[in-house]
Amino acid sequence: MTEESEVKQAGAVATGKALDVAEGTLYQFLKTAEASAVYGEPVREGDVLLLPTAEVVTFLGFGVGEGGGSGPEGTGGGSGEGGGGGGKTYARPVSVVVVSPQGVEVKHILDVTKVVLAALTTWGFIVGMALRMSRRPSRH
Amino acid sequence: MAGTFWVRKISEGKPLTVNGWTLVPLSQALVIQLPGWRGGLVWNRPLGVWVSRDEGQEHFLPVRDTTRTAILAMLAGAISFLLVMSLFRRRGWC
Repeated sequence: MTEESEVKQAGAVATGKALDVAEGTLYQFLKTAEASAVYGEPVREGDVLLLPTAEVVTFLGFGVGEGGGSGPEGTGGGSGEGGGGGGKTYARPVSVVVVSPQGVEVKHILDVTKVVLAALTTWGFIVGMALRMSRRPSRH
Repeated sequence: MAGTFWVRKISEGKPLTVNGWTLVPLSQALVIQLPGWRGGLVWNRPLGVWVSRDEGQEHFLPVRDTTRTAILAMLAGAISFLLVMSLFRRRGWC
């Protein structure tokens, strides 16, 4: 086997592995669209069963590129290819479904930290806009 | 799903049976796919639970996101306040 064919074979193996990883990642990414990603494992305590629920957001991106070139009058050349990707998943609790001998009910969860942060951001924005408006002369 | 840019998907989870109640959880997902499988976004949230008894009575218990409701109410209040303030300034009332 020549050196060139060995390099090509190694490249093909590496590309195959990269494609396997990409395929597996995409599979996991699309799996977050199922109900199993949103409803957790039920917790049983005596006669009561708790089913937690959450909101899940996942985003993912891939990019690939390749290039090549040759020197003047075909005196040399080269090529290359590469790729990369990234993503993030975050989840937030929404409610708990409680099943007891008395019946089934949904207990909603209020994320106080998130609400307070949103309130601070909103008030900061309002104060900033109000100051800007007060500096601008009114039309009358 | 191949070829579509975005899809709204409602899926059922594994049914649970406890204390004579059968629960079937439902979720709603928005799936956005970039062309050429370059990635995308999945936003999945709980819709509610179908609850049925052994005797056959069935009803739907919705899951409401109180955190998002509170945040959206705050945003709506802030935008309304700014619009009213802008209107008052235009009329010269303040």
